[in-house]
Amino acid sequence: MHIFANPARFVRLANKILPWAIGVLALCLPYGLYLAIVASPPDYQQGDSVRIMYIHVPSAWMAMFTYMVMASASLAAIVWRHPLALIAGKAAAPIGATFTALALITGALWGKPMWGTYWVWDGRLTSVLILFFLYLGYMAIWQAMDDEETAGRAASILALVGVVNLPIIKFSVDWWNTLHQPASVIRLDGPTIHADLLGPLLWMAVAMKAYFIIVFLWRMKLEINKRKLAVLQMSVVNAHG
Amino acid sequence: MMNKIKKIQSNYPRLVFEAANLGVKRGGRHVFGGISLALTNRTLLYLHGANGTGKSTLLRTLSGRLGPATGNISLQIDTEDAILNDNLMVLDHLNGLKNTFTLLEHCNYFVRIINGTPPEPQKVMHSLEVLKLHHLATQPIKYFSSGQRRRAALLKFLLIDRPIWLMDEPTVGVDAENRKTLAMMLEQHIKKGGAAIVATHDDIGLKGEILSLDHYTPKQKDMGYWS
Amino acid sequence: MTNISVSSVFWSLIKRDIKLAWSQGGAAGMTLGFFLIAVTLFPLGIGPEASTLARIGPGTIWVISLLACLLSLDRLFQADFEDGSLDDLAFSPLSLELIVTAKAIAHWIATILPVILISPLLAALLNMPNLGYKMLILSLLIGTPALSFVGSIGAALTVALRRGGVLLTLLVLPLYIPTLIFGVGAVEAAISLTDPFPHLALTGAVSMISLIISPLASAAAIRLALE
Repeated sequence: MHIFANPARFVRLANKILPWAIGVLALCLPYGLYLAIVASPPDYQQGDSVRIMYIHVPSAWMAMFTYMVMASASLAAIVWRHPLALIAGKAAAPIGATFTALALITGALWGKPMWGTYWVWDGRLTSVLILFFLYLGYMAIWQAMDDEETAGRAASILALVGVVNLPIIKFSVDWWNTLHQPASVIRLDGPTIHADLLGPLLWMAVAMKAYFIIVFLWRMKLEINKRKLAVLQMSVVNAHG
Repeated sequence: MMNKIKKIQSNYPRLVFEAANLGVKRGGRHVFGGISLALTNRTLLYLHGANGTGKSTLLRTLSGRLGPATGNISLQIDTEDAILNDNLMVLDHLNGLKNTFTLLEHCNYFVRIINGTPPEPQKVMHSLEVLKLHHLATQPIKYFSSGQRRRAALLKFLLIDRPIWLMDEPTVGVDAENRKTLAMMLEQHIKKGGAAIVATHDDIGLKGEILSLDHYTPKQKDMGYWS
Repeated sequence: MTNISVSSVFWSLIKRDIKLAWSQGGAAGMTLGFFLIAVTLFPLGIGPEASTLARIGPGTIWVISLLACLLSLDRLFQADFEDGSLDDLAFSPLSLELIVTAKAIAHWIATILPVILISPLLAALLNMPNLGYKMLILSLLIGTPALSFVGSIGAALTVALRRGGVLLTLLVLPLYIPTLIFGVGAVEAAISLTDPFPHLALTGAVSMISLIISPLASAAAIRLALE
């Protein structure tokens, strides 16, 4: 029935990808951090506090990227009822919530020296906060229901509804006049950010993506093992009438 | 939409309600597998089986609310594919009654939500009389006993005319005399050319085919997807 | 059976739900009571200075309407789910998408509309400037349908949970934030003599989007619960 991916095949594939992802992380994270903290110049206006950006911006990208992974998995789970898709969403959610929290916290720490306040209620910050709540809601549904499949499909419905929030996050800085600066890397007319800053940013972005892949695959393998265990437990119960 | 229970023995068009190789999974475990059944006009099918063999689950699957893991369900009327929802009437464990409504209000809203038009008063009165509920017509349902509630739940089969009846434990809480009424309702329905599936532990007192679910509990060997 | 009018079934369902909301055990009266009491707590908690109250007036009324809506939502589908009438509704000619739409509309009419109608009274208690009244009602009228519709998603997702109310809050409140921001923005713009129209347009846009998305999501969630 599920020819395209059965768990055993998926685990074999994951085991092939994992060493590479770990290698990329081992390479990019130290180098990216070195560039970000030591090698890159301080900003002429912001001084050393610009270095928060190298964590903040990739985290924010990952927060949205992970949500897209979760939403795509949810769509697959609802449309094709693919059991692995349910697991993929479940595996991605806490990682996404963590990246979102990281983006919010680093943003607050960066905001204090720059804007003079940890938090402003503008479009970007509010919509990212909503993203964080959506992750929490998704995980809460998984938590609240006994039956794994029902819980997963219910959570998937919420994840798909929450997709509306993604364009709001992306365009909030253009739609509202706010303290948060508009996009400077991903834009149609090319990046406006200085190359000295762009380098470490991209290294950190690659490192975080590798980190995501590693934890994501680990968590999926964990969920698959949990289900294997459940099957074993059920067979013990059944064997004793 | 004439009242038909007693007077006109109008026949339903030729129907074939089939399920082939049905298997259902719930909460990660297979409830049953490999069930096939077919109903035509004048078929009365009893579902027997111990608790937990999936009688209610089978009825939920046959009524289209629970998607089967394997197999399929089809309904043909006059050899054309027909919509299941428009031809079924289902009684579940729950009675579908609102405490604050009177019995008349219940009938009224029930029919309007299925048909869009209020029911004909004489049809309502007739249905209430058949189930011996006419003296309760204007009483709020919250004062009803459980037997009266179960009978009130049976009203739907008389108020709306559908060729296929699915009943889950219709006799629960119903006394001997009213079981006779139930048997009579079923008999009339079958005579008219309808079909019915009744999941029950009790003897209704009507001849019918029997499907025992005891033999369909799967060996848990096809759980191998995860391992 | 052929010429069933879908729209008359739709309106029958709305009428039924409004009647239930205002009968014993319904949530509408309690919601209105909550709204009244919760708003009057603010002057007592914050202090009776007219200027402070005037400043927080629009926001308070919006937030409390939002909470009032939330309070009544957990029974939106649950009451019908628990007594079995949701199963009966599944056999009406309406699609589940239309059923949840009808129920959300009924919720808005029965529960939210009264709240909107008494909101000027409470705005007066909060000393809101005269310029804001018209816009308060207008923004509530345009914005609150989103609360009922988005809320229906949460209500549908938590319908089978015994203590779903808290989870419902967690799921739905974040989705209410845009409506709250734009709704309050419109009233404050009117008070400060700037153009409230952009805020109002955005409030309406949120309502329109929720009108499209919610029935699909709620129906999918209900289908899950009826399995």
